[in-house]
Amino acid sequence: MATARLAQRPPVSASTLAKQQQHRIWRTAYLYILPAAIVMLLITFWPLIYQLWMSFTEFSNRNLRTDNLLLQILGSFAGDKAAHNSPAFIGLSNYLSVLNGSLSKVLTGFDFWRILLFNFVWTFINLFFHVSIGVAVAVLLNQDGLKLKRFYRSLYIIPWAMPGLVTAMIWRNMFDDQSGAINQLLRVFGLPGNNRWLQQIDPPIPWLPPFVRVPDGANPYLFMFILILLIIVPYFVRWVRQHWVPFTIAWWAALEVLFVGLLPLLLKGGPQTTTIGLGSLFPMSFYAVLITNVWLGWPFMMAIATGALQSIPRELYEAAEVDGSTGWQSFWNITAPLIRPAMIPAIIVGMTMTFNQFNVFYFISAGGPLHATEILVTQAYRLVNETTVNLPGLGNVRPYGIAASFAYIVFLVLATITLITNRVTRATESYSD
Amino acid sequence: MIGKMTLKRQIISQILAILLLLIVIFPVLWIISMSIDPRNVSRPSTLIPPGASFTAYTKIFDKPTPNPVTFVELLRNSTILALGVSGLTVLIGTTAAYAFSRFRFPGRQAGMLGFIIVQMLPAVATVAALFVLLNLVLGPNLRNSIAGVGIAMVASALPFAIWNMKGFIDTIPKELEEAAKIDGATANQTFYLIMLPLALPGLAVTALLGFMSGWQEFVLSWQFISNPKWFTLSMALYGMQGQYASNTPWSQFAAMSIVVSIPIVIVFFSLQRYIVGGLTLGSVKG
Repeated sequence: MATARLAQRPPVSASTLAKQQQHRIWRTAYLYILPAAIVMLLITFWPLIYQLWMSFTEFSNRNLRTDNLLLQILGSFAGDKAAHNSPAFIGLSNYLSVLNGSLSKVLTGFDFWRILLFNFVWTFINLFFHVSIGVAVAVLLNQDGLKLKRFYRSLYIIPWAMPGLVTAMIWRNMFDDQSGAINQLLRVFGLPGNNRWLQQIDPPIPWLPPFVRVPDGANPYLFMFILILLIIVPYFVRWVRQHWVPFTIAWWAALEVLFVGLLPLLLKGGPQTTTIGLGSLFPMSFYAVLITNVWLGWPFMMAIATGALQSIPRELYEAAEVDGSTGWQSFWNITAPLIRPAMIPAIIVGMTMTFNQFNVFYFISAGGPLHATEILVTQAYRLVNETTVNLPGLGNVRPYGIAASFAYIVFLVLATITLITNRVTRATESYSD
Repeated sequence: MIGKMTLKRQIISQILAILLLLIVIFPVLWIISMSIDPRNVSRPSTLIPPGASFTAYTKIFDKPTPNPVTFVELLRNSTILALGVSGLTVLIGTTAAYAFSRFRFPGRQAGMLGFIIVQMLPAVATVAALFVLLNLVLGPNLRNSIAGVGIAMVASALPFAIWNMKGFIDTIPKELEEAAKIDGATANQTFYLIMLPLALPGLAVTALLGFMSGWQEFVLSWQFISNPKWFTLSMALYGMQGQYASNTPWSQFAAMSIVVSIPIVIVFFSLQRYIVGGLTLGSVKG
């Protein structure tokens, strides 16, 4: 059948045939991807475009009604606002008002760099616990001959399966200072049981490193953010990872000397300075929400790690044992590298979910005592649902445009991290690359 | 695993596992306590409340929400949504993953990366955009139905599904397909007759994750669906939250939460064998 078709083709050169073959492959590939691409284009790509446009305009609740969406969008650029209820184009103004703190007039306690830093640190601390506990439990349950493995694994999934609102509520109740389960448990063990988890304003461990010393009047969190970026960046270089112990000691010491010691000297003759540690970002409710989110998030990592562990050949461990390897060494030299390709996608997905983890902050700490535990998405939510902004010419409206710029900042942060991680770990390469 | 399973090791592992289980289950016990407490408290103070009874459960089966919709209808709608999202994600995701895995074409790397990155816009933003899209462009009938919500859920489940399935298909030897091609099979035939049966475990994983996201979804459905006949279980659950803490029926809320979670746990129990196999082969290279 195929040969008959081939015989009817006009004679062509070998290279043209090869190219036709290649194009046929491309066509099949595109056809296979088409349904997914259409769905993603409509549902996921469209909001990106729409929000991008919104973030450059004064979009508010008044612009929600329009008779023609396309013309509404074009109308902003053409300057014709009335025809289809188009909002005015204002360029990067929304982004600037997010970054320069003018939003603190409508959102109490809004400080962009503090919130960004908080969001960042929150995400990575959570991921650390999720991955370490998830992998540890997966390894624990993967032992040959362990009884009731499937039973345990299935029950550990329950936090993941329960609706987020009810788990958030129950944890909030558990952290109640009088009748909460956590304090009751602490009292049973003789530990201090009067902790006001969700209300205490003073951070319990303000001396948590790293430290920065900043002149009064400057934003300490911007400096802290830069310090943390500087700490993280070298670890992308393989040489650094291989010699991480001496490097870490030297590098962190140097950075601290710079940020605490030298910086004020550089601004000599300058104003008073204060030293703050990272711990001052974390009121007690941070730790409460952290415990909750770790409880919520580790089963996902356990599930992925369990799958990855099944495919590591037994012989590797046996060979290592023959060579005298201890359990710990086997873990770091065999298990960890081989589950890495599976964990990287899970970590990226986990990072996105944790960065934007709205439920726990909104329902447990409600943004913390005095807005100390707000993250970017809770602020965006408050912006459009709980406050109004007075825009010139429009009065008090809900600023969807500014919220869109919030969303885009989150998007850019996460996309940047993903691109960098992908580059470093080559996670999206294919089998045949 | 290094070494044999001795009795001492078994006991220590079992103790650790049970301790962990207690920590994991502890909050759930409070939820159950809340649900059998007849006093409608939002802060249960003891694990077994005085006068414990199961009336909350009978109440939710009778009349889950003030809207004119029965529990069975809610269950039906949730099931349709979850199964629909699950099925569509498997279908669309697997074909795309197959293409990304097997074919080389311009835009492949960018496409994979693109699928993942577009996911990163937070939901706060996507809901408003989708409302506009479904309302103005595709017609209010689509919006006000489960189909609209379902398609949106599929889009959010697709990236991880494609990534996972692609890794899985990567581990299936190409020789099988090459043999099929020599025997004269077209690309489509190879896909349906060779690929899909071998990829069954990966399909099971994707199906489960799609089911979970469809079953638990309420944000989009809340915004889009206004006909009570089409409400889902998750919507009814979240709708129970009254305006003030005092008029939320907490016992029923907790009872509903338990009832809504049970199907997922059951589905996970029964598919666990596939999941362990599926996530495995899906992710590790070589």
